Order: sequence, then structure tokens, then C-alpha cells
Amino acid sequence: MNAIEVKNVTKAYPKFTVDRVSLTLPAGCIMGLVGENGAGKTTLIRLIMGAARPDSGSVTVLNVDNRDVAFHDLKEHIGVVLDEAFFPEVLTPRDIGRVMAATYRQWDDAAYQRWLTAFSLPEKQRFHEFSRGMKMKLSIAVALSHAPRLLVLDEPTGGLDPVVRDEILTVFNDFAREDDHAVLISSHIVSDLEKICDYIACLHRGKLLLCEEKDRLLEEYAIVKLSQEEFAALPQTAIHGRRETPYCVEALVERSMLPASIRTEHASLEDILLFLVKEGK
Amino acid sequence: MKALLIKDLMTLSKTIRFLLFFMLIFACIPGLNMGTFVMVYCAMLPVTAVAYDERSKWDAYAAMMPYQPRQIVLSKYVLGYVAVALAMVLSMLARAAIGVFGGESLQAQDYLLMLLYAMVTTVFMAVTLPLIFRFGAEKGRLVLLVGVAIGISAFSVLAAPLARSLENMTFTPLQLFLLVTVSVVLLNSLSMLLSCRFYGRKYA
Repeated sequence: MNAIEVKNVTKAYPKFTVDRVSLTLPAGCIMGLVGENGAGKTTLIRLIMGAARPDSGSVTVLNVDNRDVAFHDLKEHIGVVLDEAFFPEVLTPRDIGRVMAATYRQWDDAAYQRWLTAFSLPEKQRFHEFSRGMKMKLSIAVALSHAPRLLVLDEPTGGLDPVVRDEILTVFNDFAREDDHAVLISSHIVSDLEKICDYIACLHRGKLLLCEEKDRLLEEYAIVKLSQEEFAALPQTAIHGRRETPYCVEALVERSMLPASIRTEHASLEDILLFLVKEGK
Repeated sequence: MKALLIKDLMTLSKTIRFLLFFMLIFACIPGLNMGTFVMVYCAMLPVTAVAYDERSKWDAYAAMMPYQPRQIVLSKYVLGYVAVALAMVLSMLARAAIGVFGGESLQAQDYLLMLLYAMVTTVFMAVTLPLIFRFGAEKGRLVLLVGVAIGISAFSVLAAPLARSLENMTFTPLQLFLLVTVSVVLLNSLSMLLSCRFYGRKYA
């Protein structure tokens, strides 16, 4: 079963378009959505969650078309964390627990209390007195406390220190161990995605540049550093991005398409994405 | 909708406590008009709730939760109606209690008049909320001020001819009460439709 299927989705705004995006997130997996600011990550998340209507294309979440009436009930099973949208600032975690208990039929107050304790969140402190890390942890505690099968996370680790980030990533990783659970996580921090994701989707100016298994990306792509003459001799279909320096040409290449004599270097996920987005072919 | 009302009540708990206190103070002051002040403030509670929502960007979050856009809009109206009704009942009770202890007691028509005031108070909400949902809490209030200024100017021009045309018409208190009730219900219904439509644009 697929947790999310986005098929040919287009959404045009006056100054920006999400253009024919298609991607599939299988159940039991974590997909990282990466892209520069304004690439369309948040818009895509809104389109997936039915908070914006696409001009064309379709979105299916946990086997339900998000235009169906049934999708409203399905939201019970989707935990959401947003980058810049929070709870009313005068509320405390205890108040928020009461609101969520009336929101979700499957609200598990014992689980919520466990998460509050695990994240060391004070129950009676007002939300506006929380640090960014605490706010994010509270959003995650809420997202995890109504028996979700899918987590949709928009920049959940942005602006957090490495210790908190690691702690939160472990939570997501543990969550995705269940076969029927899945996570869609958008982030600028590629190293975070490299740690936990099974799939990587890269958006650039509203278009999907790639959507691949992370391990395949890391196996398949490599960096070569060659002279102009050596570079010119490479098969053009193998090259996915290049950067010229005074001494050589650095290029992102597909390993399997190169002659065995060419020496390659390991390409990190960040290298791959930077080449694809910035350097072009 | 229950969750949204709980959220708004908790968010506004300080303001509500403040209003309850002033309601009791105002109730002790002779003359019904003071009680209506509190009702007007209660009718403004939904606008304050929307302003809080905007500040925390709650709407973006709510769009991802199992709330219907219609529920989000109607919860603000319900909040206003409940607050106004509560203000009215508490004012009546306070005034009745004062009457029992030898103060100025209320007559039957005074209760009816308070009910009328409460209904008219909801007109304020019916006019304000669509503007707030269309333009946001800040800009919506400015548009409302401009609208009120235009309304007062228009009324000052039309008041004399209107009064002349109504000169020969007479209404019994019951007719007047029914006329106000029907007008208030119609205006509030239209207001809800407009608000739902404006709010729905956020999901476009």
C-alpha cells in the first residue's frame, strides 16, 4: 500500500506554480522533501492535505482521494507538524491536550502525557513562553498522540540545535518502523534527511527534479574531477551537473554509465542535490 | 466544533473573566443601557478570537486537522451568541436579585427590552465577522470603521425622509419585536453565508 500518491498535480499562483508534480510514498517508509526556500514544499504539503485545491492532478492519501468526503475523517490518522503555524499562544500544553481530546476521536491522553514527559515539556507553561525547540516538540507530541498512520512534517527540525534535532529524528525513525506507518518530512537540512529517509524528493522552482530511493541515489551518483579534455570524453548522458574550477571540471555523474577506468568519489546527498539544483548540466 | 469552542474559550479566558466582573458592576448601576455595553463587548469576542488565531497562524494548522472550514467559521458565531446570551441572562439575574434586596426592580417589559438589545447586539457581529474573514482582523476593523462612517453619513441624509414615510405607520410592541427578530435572524444568516464563502477562499 502507498501512504501518499501525488499524480501530475499542478497549482498555479500569480507568481509561482507547482508544476505537474508526481510522487509516491510507500507505507513503512520515510520520504524527505527537499528544496530551496520557495521551491513549493509547503504548497505541496497543503495540496496533499487538502488545504489547497490543485488546478489539475490528483492526490491519494492512505488509499483515499483527498477530494472525497471520507478524507475529512482520514485526517484523524494523519499527524501534522508545521514550520510556522502553532497553537494559540496563551494556551498551555494541558489546555492543548483538552482541545485535542475534543478534536480527535482517537486521542490518547496517556500517550500525550508520556510524550510531554519524554520531551520535558512543562504542562502549565504558556505556549508563547516556549523556545522554538519546545514548540516543535509540543507539536510533535500532539501529532503522535492520536494514533496516526502518517506523519506530515513541514520543517520540523528547522532552527533547532543538533541535540534536539537528533532526538526528534529518532522519534520519527521509530515511528516509521511499523509497516503501516509512513512519514513525509520537508527540510532544508539535507544531513537530517540523509540520516532517516528511505526516499528523497527534490523540488526546484515548483518542479520535481527527482524522487528516488536514497540508497539508489547514493549508489548511483558520484563525483568526478577531470581535466577539460577528459571531461569532454565522458558520455553526456552520464553527466547530471558540472562545476568548473581553474584546475578541473567537477561533475555529478551516474556511475553505471561511466567507463570503469574513470576514478569517482563518493557523492553525499547534499552534493547530489546541490549539483542538480545549482549547476545544471 | 466543540473543540474549536473550547479552544476559543480557553484563549479568551482572561477577557471573559474581565467581562464577567464588569457585567456585575454594570448590573448594579440603575438603567438598562449599562448592561448592553457588556453585551456589545461580548459580541466583539469572536473578533478577538480571530485576531488570536491569526497571530499564532492557527488557521494554517486547523486546515490540516479534522475541522471543516464551515465549522471553523460557525464556531465564531456560536461563541458570540453564547457570550451575548450569557451576558443578557446574567444581567437579568443580577438586576432581579437587586430588586429582591430592595433596589430598583425590573418590569416585564424591561426583560423584553433586554432581549431586544441582545438581538440587536448580534447585528454588530453579523456585520463585522464577514469583513474580518475577508480582510483579516486588522484590515477588517479598518474597513468596518470606514463602513460605519459611510453608514452614519448615509443615515443622516436618509433619516428625515425615512421618518416622514414611517410617520403614519404604527406598530404594536409585539409587531415591533417580531420585525426585529426576523430582521436579526435574516441578517445573521446572510452574514454566516458570506463568512463561510470568504473563509473558504483560504482553501482555494
